Amino acid sequence: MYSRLNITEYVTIAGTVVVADDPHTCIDADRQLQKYLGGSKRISMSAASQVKIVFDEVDMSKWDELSLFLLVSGQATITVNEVDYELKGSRKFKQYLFDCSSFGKQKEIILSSVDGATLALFLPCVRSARIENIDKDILEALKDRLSIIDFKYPFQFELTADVAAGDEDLPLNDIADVPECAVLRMPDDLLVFTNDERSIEAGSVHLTEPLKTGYTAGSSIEVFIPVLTEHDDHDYDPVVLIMQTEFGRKLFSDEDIERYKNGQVIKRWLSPVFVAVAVDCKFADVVASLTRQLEASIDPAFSMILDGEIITVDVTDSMSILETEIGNNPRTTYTLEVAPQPVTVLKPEQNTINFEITSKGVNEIDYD
Amino acid sequence: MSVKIVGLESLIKGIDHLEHFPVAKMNKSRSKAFKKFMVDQVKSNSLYLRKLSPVTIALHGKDHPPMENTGGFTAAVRDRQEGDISVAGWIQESGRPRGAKIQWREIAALHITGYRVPLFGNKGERVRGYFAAHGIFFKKTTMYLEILPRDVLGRAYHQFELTGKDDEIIDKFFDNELKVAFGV
Repeated sequence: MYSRLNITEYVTIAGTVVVADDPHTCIDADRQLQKYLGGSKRISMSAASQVKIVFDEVDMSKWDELSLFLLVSGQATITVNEVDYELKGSRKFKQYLFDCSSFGKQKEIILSSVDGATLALFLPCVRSARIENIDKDILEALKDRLSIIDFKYPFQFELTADVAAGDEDLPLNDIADVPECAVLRMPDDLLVFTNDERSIEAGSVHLTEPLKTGYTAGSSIEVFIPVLTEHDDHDYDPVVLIMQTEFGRKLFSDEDIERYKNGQVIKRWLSPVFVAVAVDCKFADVVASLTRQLEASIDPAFSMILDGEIITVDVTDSMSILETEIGNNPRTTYTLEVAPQPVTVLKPEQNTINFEITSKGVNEIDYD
Repeated sequence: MSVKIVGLESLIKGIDHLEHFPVAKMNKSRSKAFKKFMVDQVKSNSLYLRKLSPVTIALHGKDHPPMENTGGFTAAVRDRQEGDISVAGWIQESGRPRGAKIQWREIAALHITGYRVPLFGNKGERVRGYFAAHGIFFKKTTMYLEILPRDVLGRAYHQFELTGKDDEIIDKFFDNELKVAFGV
């Protein structure tokens, strides 16, 4: 689980600080992901400057870590929970993790620079990557990622007569192209649900609940394509469904432990998990259309945010069944290999160790 | 003046031998090893496949490993030689379980994709009827019977690679040919 910090303002405390959108400096080259994340913020700081990053208050004790991706040119200091941490210049984005479980309620972070610095800030968030939630987190992360694809149903519909609030039937042109259990998007973006009842004579589909508002004849109606996981209610048609395909694999890869010097945590990277993404619909041509849309929107290796971290997902295989073999709906399924999951395994105490060194003196020095 | 390079003749002979590397034979060995590996993994329930759903457990009257009753599926998986290429996990087009309409290769595809069957309309009523005869009743509001994917061949292939079984065969062939070619 993770939650992005909702930054409301950048308040200059000292010197000159310029904050601008920085869509060109993004941690990830994936354009879809940039669209989703909005790129990074570029923070240009003069010498002896300070800026306060203000965000909606978060009770950080409910989370494990505060996570920030920073690209730093020059030298700067970050103040979190009234403690200063030095940020050294780097050529690429570096993740900074802070054990925030004892921070309590927070609403600001302060950046300071003595000699001036330029920073790019990306994906500030609080996160809890816990082993017991891994499988579900992966499915949810994929759901978030695939939901940014604006899937379009290949047929559009219009209301053939006026409807009023309380009506349970929706008169549409070409109701044969509307599957049973479809989710319909009304002109005001409200979603309504059809069931398996329909009136061929009246040319109308039946809704699971009465309409809350009326609409005029000619209004355009779309079939909405929900992206859901196997844990959601997914009795809809069409649907993009995300499912885990294997269970019980060992979770740890012992060799892959990442240590964070400044972040005070040790992370362990887990073995890959396989997940299936199925595009399922009563109509084979709709499956074909949605399959094309999905393939046009993701690369064979694409990125997503899992518990506040950017990870790579590989599409390893795909299989289509466009025939009804045993009464089943046509479907295309992609097999995805979700690369390791970041899990914090240790948060070592930061102790100060004092060494006492006593000089014993120098008796003799040889010079060549 | 003439120069004689000691060993040149045997080097040329060795390179000539390697030009006739038995690729087809090696690939056939790999696909046969995959088949054996896959069957062993299914028997020992080592593919990390999803457990049976409550509906299947009720239908079978007991819980058991997901591929315990393969009904001849693993026997239907063979290999096919196409020149130097050997297709591992190949299933004959016309092969099908005894008395069934659906073919083995269609079953294999459904294992990979998972599938769902509508529980409404005439077909849906028949599906509800079939399960009702086994004492399993779905809620009226349940619209689809979802069968989740259990990609037997895909997971077996992944394990085959991951455990180095495939590399073992390739290494064995290379070692053998190098030994014949250069005596090393």
